[in-house]
Amino acid sequence: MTPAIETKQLTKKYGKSRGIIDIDLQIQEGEIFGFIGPNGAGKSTTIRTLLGLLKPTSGSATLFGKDIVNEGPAAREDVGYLPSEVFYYDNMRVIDLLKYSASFYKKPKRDIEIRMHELAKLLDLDLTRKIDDLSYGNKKKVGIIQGMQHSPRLLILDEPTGGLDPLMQQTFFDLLRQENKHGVTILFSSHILSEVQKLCDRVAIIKDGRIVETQSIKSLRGHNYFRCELELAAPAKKSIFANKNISDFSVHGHNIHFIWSGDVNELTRLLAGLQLTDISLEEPELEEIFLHYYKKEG
Amino acid sequence: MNVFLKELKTRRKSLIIWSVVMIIYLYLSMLKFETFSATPAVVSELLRNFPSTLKAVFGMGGLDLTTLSGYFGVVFAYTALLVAVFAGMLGSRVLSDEESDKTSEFLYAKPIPRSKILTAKLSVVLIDIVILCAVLFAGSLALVSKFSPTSQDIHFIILLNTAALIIMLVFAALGAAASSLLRRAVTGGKIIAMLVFACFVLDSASKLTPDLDWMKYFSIFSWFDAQRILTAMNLNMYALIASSALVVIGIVVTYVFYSKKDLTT
Repeated sequence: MTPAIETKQLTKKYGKSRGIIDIDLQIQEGEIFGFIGPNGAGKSTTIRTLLGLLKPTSGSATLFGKDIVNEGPAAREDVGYLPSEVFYYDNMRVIDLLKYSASFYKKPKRDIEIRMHELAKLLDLDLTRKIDDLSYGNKKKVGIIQGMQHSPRLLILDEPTGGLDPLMQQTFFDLLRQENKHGVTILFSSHILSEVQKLCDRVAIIKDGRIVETQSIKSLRGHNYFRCELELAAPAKKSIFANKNISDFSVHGHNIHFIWSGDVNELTRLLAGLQLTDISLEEPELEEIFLHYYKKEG
Repeated sequence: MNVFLKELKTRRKSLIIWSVVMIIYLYLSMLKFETFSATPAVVSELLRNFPSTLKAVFGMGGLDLTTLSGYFGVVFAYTALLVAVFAGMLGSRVLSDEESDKTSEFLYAKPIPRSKILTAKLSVVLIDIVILCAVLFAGSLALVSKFSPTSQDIHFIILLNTAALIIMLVFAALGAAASSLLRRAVTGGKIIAMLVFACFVLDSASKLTPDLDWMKYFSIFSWFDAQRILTAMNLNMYALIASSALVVIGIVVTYVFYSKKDLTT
């Protein structure tokens, strides 16, 4: 089966900003794929390159097998995009904007309009209002409808939850799950890990413009990672903890805290050499695993 | 068609305002001609004592202000300047407005090639320019009609309006090119406005002294100088060729660079 999104060493360099380097992704149809990393890591750059907003410096990418550069418009036909910040023509009414948006797609206008009204009802948005008069949250709703009304097979969502209140977020997530059940592929970028954890099957972590790791949510939170809290009987030499698998290391008197990522047996061998009065090993939150990637090189 | 109609609507208000302003300008200018034409001897005497440099600066160097064509030639020099600003800004803004309003992210993510977006927008530029030119032409004819123009006068007015149309097309094409070439498209509008005024200054300066005569080769306003048009009763062929070349270059540059332009944020 053709992947919904496939990138091969996709690279975008521009100006002073870092851009993205050698991004390799393969997202299968029907997946909910999380894309996490802090602001400036390259999430938006990757997404914008996929959508033809930025021209790749090198490498290639396809959406449903269609090349993003040579077949850009065809590749975007089946895509819905919700940018992180929504900007629309201020002097238009919501309904006119949505109709304008619909006019770009080949799908029958009637079907799109029916879906538009369904979504507006679900999200509780008044279509007769002027864009200019909308709150940020309501503009975001316009963005959601604009991205979904033409029933695309692929949804690309860049930090989609900003501006939505928790209740609306819930509605939005339910909507996404429902779409996914009908086979829609979703690329969901975020720096908020709990969202990704809730929704996604697999996740790619991006740091400094490179994909650091692509894993299933389960294996990312799995047995390779421990949050270790130790209480020592006597102060230990710091050098004992100079280990490539240790990060986020801190000492408070006899208490030592770190994140372990690697072979569990290696950890027990290290601990065996210490005089402990207490120990706690916990599965870390995705957030901490995530931080670990950023601190490793820092 | 959707982008075209949207753009047409976006530009409508500004087109109406410019049309009204140009008509008012022509009307007020022609009001003064009533006085001039009524007392030609006095005006001639007055102008004879005018320093020639001053006359050159105001664009009335060799034109006889007491004749309809001569007066209209002076009026039209400023008209050309104004519509050049209109066209340059229009050419630049059809591309830069979406960028500064940040709606380009919405538009470029749609399944439509950049070249089609561009064709739609440039079509609107062409239509608006033609409309403004038609307004100018109709306005000119209506305003000179009460001074019983000769067929020679009418011919001259047609030539001046054609020149204005060409000047507008050149600046619009250069405006679009500047906006597609520059990373920040808004800068394109500023550059074009400066270019228009630079051309106007060069044109005026070239008429000041023979030493500065060479400047006329660098200003499109000199290429279509009203006095020359009135003497020759045609448009200079080299001016037409050079203008067409500028329009073609501008449009080609616009297509090449707009198609691969990155979204600016």
